[in-house]
Amino acid sequence: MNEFENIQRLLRLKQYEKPADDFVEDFVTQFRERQRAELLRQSARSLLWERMNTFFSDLVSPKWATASATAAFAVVAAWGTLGLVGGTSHAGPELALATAEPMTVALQSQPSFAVDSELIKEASDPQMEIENILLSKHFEGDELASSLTGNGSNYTPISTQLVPVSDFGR
Amino acid sequence: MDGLLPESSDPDRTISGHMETTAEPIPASSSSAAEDRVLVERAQAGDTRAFDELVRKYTPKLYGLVYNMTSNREDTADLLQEIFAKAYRSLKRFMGKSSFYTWIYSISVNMTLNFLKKRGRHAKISLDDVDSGIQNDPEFVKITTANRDTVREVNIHELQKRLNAAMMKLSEDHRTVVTLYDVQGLQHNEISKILGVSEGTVRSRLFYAHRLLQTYLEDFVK
Repeated sequence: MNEFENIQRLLRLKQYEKPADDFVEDFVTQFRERQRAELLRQSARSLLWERMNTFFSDLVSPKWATASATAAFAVVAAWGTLGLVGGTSHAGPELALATAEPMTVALQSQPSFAVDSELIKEASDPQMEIENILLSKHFEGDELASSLTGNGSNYTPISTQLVPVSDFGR
Repeated sequence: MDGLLPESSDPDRTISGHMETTAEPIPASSSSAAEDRVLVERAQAGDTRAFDELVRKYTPKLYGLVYNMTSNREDTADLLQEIFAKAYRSLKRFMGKSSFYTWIYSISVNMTLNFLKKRGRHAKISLDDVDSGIQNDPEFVKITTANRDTVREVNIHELQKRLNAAMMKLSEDHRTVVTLYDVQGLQHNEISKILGVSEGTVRSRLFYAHRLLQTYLEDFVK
């Protein structure tokens, strides 16, 4: 007889400790929900990785798929990183130069700043004064004002002659 | 069958009979293993319902394992979720060298041991209800009768409390072998595979654990 038979019999009574009857079904439901939530939480990066793996596994033998996907992933990452670093390092000196140049030149050299391009062209005309350009823009579409501010040889300094549109007819 | 064997295959196991009918810890039949293999293959191919079937099948067994090692039902439910989630994530790497049952048991034991290490010794005990079937169990009748005649009346809850307190006094390694052998009914060779230790180590841990438990539960086993 086993010297520990009594204790073994006693320990077997622990089998009667059981969870509620519906525990298993509730547990399976909970597990399914958790799986679904995990899928939704999957990051874009892992999805990209998974798709690259699948793509390469179709192209090359499966044992090279992961290696090819890793290489492609590294190239994309390096290209992205270098592009970003290269972009900022080139922009630096140009911006520094722009501050030392006249406004018109600076605006032309930085078209990416979403400045009105017609305004830049006009501003680059050495015969035009910046004040006139801005006023002509202000009264754009108003014929009378345009005739007063007109271009070329009939030009008269507007600061002394121009009457605001709102004051006509008073 | 690679993995778990019928209980009767262990010549050292002296206890058999009535207690085995209350729980069936081992899927002894080869049809169960074959059924598992089919479910695993389907799950590996992306059939989530097949994995749900495996979860449904093994939840009661693994619940018993984790619960008896943690003595906390809330921790058990949480841990079991983690165990099945991990098994699902690792399923593609499961090559079928052992049975699914052995594999999932190994994951469960390892994760539970890691959990117990993190939790430390300040564990809160939260126990399940005891099935009313215990009142008809000859062992329980014997214990209660003996105590009624002598020292005091033993009720179910007191017995449950004492058993769990005694289990919690054991080290994690000893508690693991006691749970697997005495409560779950696994064989020495199966426990050895699950824990990755020799059968001799399993036997020696069991011997030491039984001796300690006999001291802790002296008044019940006289």
